[in-house]
Amino acid sequence: MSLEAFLESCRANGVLVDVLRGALELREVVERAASEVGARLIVVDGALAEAADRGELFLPMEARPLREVDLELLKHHDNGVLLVRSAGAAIAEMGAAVLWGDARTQRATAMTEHLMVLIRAECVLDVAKASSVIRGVLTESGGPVHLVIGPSATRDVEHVRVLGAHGPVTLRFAVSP
Amino acid sequence: MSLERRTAEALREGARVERLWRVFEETKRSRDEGIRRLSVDELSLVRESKVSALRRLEELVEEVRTAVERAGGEVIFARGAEDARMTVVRVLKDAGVRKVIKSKSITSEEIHLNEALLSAGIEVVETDLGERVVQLSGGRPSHILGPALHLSREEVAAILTKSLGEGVDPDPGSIVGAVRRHLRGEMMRAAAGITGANAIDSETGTVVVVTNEGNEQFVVGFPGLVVCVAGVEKLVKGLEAAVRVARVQSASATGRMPSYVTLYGPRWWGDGKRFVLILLDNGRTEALSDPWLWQVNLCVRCGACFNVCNPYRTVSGLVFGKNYSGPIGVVWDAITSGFDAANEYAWLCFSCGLCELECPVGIRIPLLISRVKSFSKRDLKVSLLAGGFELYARLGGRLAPLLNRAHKSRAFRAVLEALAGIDKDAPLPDFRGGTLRGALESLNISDDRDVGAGTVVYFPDTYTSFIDWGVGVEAVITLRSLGYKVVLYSGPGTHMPAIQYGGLGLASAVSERITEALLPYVERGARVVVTEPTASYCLREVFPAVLGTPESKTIARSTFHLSELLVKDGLSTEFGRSELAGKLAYYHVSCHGQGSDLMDATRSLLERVGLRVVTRALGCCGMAGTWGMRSGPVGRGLSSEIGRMVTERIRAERPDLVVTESSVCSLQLREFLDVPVLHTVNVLRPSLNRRRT
Repeated sequence: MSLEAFLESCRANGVLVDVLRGALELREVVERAASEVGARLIVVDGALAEAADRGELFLPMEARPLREVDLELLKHHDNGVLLVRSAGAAIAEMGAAVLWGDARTQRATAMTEHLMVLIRAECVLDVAKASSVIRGVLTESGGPVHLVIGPSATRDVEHVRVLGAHGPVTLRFAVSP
Repeated sequence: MSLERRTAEALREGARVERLWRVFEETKRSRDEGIRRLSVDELSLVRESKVSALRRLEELVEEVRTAVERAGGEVIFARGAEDARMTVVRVLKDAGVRKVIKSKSITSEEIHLNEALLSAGIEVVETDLGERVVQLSGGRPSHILGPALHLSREEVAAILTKSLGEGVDPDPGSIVGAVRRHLRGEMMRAAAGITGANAIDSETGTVVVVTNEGNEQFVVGFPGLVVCVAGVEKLVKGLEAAVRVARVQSASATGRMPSYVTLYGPRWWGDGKRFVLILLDNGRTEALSDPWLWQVNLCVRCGACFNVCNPYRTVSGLVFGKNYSGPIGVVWDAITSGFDAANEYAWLCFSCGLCELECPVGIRIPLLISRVKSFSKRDLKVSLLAGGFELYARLGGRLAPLLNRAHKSRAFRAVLEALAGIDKDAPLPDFRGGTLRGALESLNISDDRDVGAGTVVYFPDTYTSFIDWGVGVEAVITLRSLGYKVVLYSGPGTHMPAIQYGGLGLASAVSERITEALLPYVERGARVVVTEPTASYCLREVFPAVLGTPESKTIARSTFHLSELLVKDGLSTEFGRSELAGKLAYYHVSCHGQGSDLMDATRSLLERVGLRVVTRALGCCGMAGTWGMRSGPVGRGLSSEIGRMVTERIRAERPDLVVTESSVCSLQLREFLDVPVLHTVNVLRPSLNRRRT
């Protein structure tokens, strides 16, 4: 299943996707995203922080690793936090980023006001292959695994769509080569 | 309160009716776009995986038990609602839980879980926004996906203002903000969470849950104990199958992918959380042995059938529901709460058949509802309607002047209402007098004798045979003019009322007789032609489903609506410009004509003769055969309101005329519209270019 199919699914889902020319471009994209949503704090998950430490990618200077952030900061919905996470996989037909990890990271993902997910192009899979990967995670490391497809939303009041029902108001994907 | 009374009350809520129609029209449009993005293969895969799982359900139960227990979780099989309720209470009490957060779960509504938890001193906090509003209101959900859709923004704001002790503005953004602030802390502190499931993978014990709001991430992610209460029919083999169910459910529900699909099970990342899976039977496995009702276990709870159900749109799930709601809800309530519970509202179903067309896994919902109705204690009036329509029509053919006069007599109509339940104000057709066969004989048109490939058997059905044979005469003349040999069918009509009113036994007997009568012709190469969509629906859809015989399937394959036949045989060019050319025609596709090639065929023919054609998917006009003739709020009351809503939309198109193939739809449309309502054949026949000599 091609990256193009994933991008098409994301378009159908109304999710903004930045296709990076290289890992170096990530910093610029994150900064732009933070600026667009008016984020007051950029937080990155453990995998990204470690990759940045190793010099494999560049993050905005002010970005803080999640391990250094007190989750109390995220207690209120309008916390102004942009959390940047790395996806373990993505599902082309669904336009879904597949997120797994420790409970703290998963909780922060539920609580953050803005979410950005970095997806490596090679991790974009079809439903069958992604299911196999997810099965491995669930049986070996454990769940929950979240397929994130859009921002948190509800139509429960007169069918009017309101973003940020419980989770992130905005969702953005960045696909890296 | 009786169904009649509840319906009457709902019909008085005009603003709610308007709002619900708008919501479901929007949802249907969006859903149609979304479902088109799925391939037929994908829908088939989901159906097959569900069918396959149901065939070996016991094996899958054992498999999931092994998988979950091996990974440190627990599986408890609950035979009935009481078992399930008590099990959840015990699990939570043993863990010392005083407050639990819950994500939306119709299964927990089925077993009345919240009431049991509250009785046991455990506070329940619903976390889905609509569900929380409904919970705070003390009411019950009206829709399986949008629990509070029946409430206006003002009503929601008033409920929250009262419950939360803060002023909430009646706009959706403020409402969502208020609920979010109120719930965030509750969700972060809860000791236990309860979820439902969209699917469960038997191999790993993984629960798959679809949400848009993101509350599931809190319910699963924060508490130390997570309990899943799910129907046993949610089991499928393999994670891929489970994810596909979630994908199809979402596409079919709203047309959009959900914002989140959460997968969790007995093994947790890092910490020692506890997982308890409660698999609920509650009538599901018993239903597997029923020739019809087993299919409900295929349901993915997408709610697509709700979108097209005009009675549901009009009265909402508060009337069209009990624990479940909507068309498929009738069947769910039947198998989980008993036939009496389901029959409290099953009689709101018109048997229009549109829900079946929407179902992504092909459940024959109207026939299942008919099966549920068959277990109801029917009153004499309903029985009269089910079996007596054809008898009355035949009588009318003989006593036309008398009965036509009687139809205009208030006294006679009052007697008819008292004895047969026919509303005294409902439009009744005028009898033309005589029969179609008699009319054809008087025109020296007799059956062709050499039956072969060029022969069609014209199946006029009851209305055209005995009430008004005008369409039949035009159809036969058209067919013969185009060179077909025509044989007029002799035998019983389709008896659609029998199906509507729960008489599947009668429907089966009638379908056997009709099949026997048609088969000798079809076996010699003849095709069956109809002019009433209900006739084609019965011959092509209902009878093969009821009988399941190769003969009934042969008849189904050989049956065509007149328009379909003409287009299929390449005869469109035989029609020239009509006197009506240039006029705007609204084409009303009868419910039973939808899902077939009829719509495209008729439309192309109408355009061929020069009409400008507009059509919209408005669903049932409310007449639904004899349904709209019945007295009372569930009959004429509901029928009139639906007729008003449908014709309001037709009028907005500003048509010069309305074209439809259904005789009974015509009755309803004429009641509300002031433009001519014509049968397709009445438009086409005068435009024929040539005549057979």
